[in-house]
Amino acid sequence: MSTKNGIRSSVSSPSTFKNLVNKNESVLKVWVKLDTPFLAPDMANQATAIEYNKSDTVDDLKDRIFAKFKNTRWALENDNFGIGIGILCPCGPENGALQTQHPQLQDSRASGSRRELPRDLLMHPVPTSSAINNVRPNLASNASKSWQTSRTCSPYATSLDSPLSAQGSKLQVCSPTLTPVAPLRRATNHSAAGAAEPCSLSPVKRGLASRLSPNLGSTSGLAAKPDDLPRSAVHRSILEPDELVIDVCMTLFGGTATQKPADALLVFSNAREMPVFSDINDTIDEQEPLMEDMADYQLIVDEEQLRKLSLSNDEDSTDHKQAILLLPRGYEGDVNLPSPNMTSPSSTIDTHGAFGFESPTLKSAQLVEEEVGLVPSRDPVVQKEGSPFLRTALGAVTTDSITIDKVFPKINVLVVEDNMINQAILSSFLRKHKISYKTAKNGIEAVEKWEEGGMHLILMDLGLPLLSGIDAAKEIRKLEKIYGIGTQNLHSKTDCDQSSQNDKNLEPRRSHRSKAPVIIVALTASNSHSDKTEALLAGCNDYLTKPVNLDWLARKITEWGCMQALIDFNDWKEGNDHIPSCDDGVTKPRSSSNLSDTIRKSSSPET
Amino acid sequence: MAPIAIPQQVINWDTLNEIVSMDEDSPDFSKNLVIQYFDQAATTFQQIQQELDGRCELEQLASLGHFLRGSSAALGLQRIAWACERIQNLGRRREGSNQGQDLPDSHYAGLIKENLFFARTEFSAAKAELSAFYKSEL
Repeated sequence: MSTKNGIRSSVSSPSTFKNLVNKNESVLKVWVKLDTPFLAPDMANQATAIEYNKSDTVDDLKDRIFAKFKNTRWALENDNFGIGIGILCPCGPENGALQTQHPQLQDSRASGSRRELPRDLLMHPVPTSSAINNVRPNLASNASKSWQTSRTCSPYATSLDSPLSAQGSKLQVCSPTLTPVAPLRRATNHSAAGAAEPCSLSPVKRGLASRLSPNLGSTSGLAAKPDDLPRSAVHRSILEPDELVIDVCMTLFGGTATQKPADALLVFSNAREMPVFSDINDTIDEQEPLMEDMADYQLIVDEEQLRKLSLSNDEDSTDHKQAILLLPRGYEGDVNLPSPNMTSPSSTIDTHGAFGFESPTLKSAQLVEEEVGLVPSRDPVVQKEGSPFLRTALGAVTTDSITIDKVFPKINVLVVEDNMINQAILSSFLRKHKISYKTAKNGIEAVEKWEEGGMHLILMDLGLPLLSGIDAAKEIRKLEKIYGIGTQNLHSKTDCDQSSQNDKNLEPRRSHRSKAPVIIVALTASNSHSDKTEALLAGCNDYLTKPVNLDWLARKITEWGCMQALIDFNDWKEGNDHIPSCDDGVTKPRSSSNLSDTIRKSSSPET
Repeated sequence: MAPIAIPQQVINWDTLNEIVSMDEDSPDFSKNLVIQYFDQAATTFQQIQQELDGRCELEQLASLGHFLRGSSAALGLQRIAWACERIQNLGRRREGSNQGQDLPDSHYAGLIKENLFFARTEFSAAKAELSAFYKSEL
């Protein structure tokens, strides 16, 4: 303990002794340096001397900096509130201290990283239990050294003075077992946490403890050196706006004339760590790439909701982002739908596969081929839990809310079930929700009904007589390919080019009957993995396990129905230019005879 | 392939209540459905019995098992559905034997017979429970 104490005093003493020197200077200057990635490198690295008065505060210094840098891009891009003056606080001791304390730590590291990494590890109060160890002793630290009470920036002291120092050094000894990246990462996290950290000098957090540690004066030079680690390894300490500049210089550099250009105060153009100015996010938004989180959006379906939202916006929720989703006229679907939390079979797998579900980003909402249902789930339980598309709403949605309140998109559903009981249940459900439907008892009938046209969704039992659900799905997909329904597939395009060469009549009609492929939802036995795989391979988009849970059925109908309605909407827009007479309602069932005519014509060259 | 454990309850009321909830719109919907089901089940049991007594085609037995399993499960009659699943799988020779074992059809037929008996028992139990629920003899 005694040797450690010796080390600390050797660190801190020079600055404390210089504290009284050069107090009566007439012309006061302070070195500052702009810290912004948007400047030319030479400019950013260059320290500038700013003159200031004895009574100037840090805020006044900002004005002077702006005066100095006026007509530069930096000055145009920043304002008084957006910048913060401070230092990069490495919170670290001199290297010598480390080497004496933990030679084994040093040996285990490459010489380049030696200086920075261990220091971060030791000195940053990482937001873990070690942070607690570091903070608490500060309060109890030696009262005779008055600056030490404000010296929260250097947990170094804690590992020396506190009774918890044993733990602190244990932490250090453990550190070599970490990967070299780990301390870096911890340090980065730390700097991102910014103002919440005990190390922060943010005035709001610190109260009286606004002064920089004298220890920092000796280390800030290190922070400014170009061979330092990226700044994320250290963190910003922002000076209190009403702190006197002269006091800052005294504290940091031991006097008003002792500061060297290398010790320049840094002017941070992104003062996010300053809670005082946390409301001026505009400057931040300009500089940071906007990460749009879909979860921040809420969907608005009609003018009434839009009005409601704009009203509520006036009051408080100015941070709400807005997006307007255009939906077809007469669209009555449930618009909870295209949600970032949507899980489809593939993401269901992900949840218990390697990827995890922690970050429902925009990416996961994008509909890729796999998500349409080419990847089977392997676990019926996971499927059962994850299959309804709104994972978060799963608990909240009750049977009542589904069966009574839900409004469904106007779609046509084909129920393919050989068992009259099941068919009665499904039909009754659809009838109750005023969803138009047809029924088929076997696979052949299913294909026939589909050929009549107008179907958006097929609920297909797999164990069908005559033609199984699998084969029926395959058949439908084959026919779609022949007719050129759906455009994702290159093959279908070439197919339809060929057929249109053979039959010129097909092409003009296709523009208004071409729509998305029908969605086939297989009804599979609850524990049959092979059924699901087979179904998805056969071209089904999705599956429901039997016995069909009506909540899920409702969700599937909404999910796929809305998707179909939206896809249809595009067709409707395009089709409207060419064919003004038809397609006023997107979901209007098309003339079935017309379609089957077309189908027959187009299939004739194939056969 | 080890058969999954048999459900404890004759009726899964979570499932059946969903159907009962549709009575709001069309009264007696669920009751009629249940009556229809009992007819269907009785018929299917007979067909299975006939098949066992007659040609004893396992494929046909599997298909019948699958058929009744679907409606049983839809109504939440899970123990009947379980027995039907056994019949279906036995008919496909997917269970009732060890890996690689080549057993005559009669072996599977015997096991199906056992399960048919079990299904009928469960059928009676379900009928009793549902009769109590609808307060009328079904």
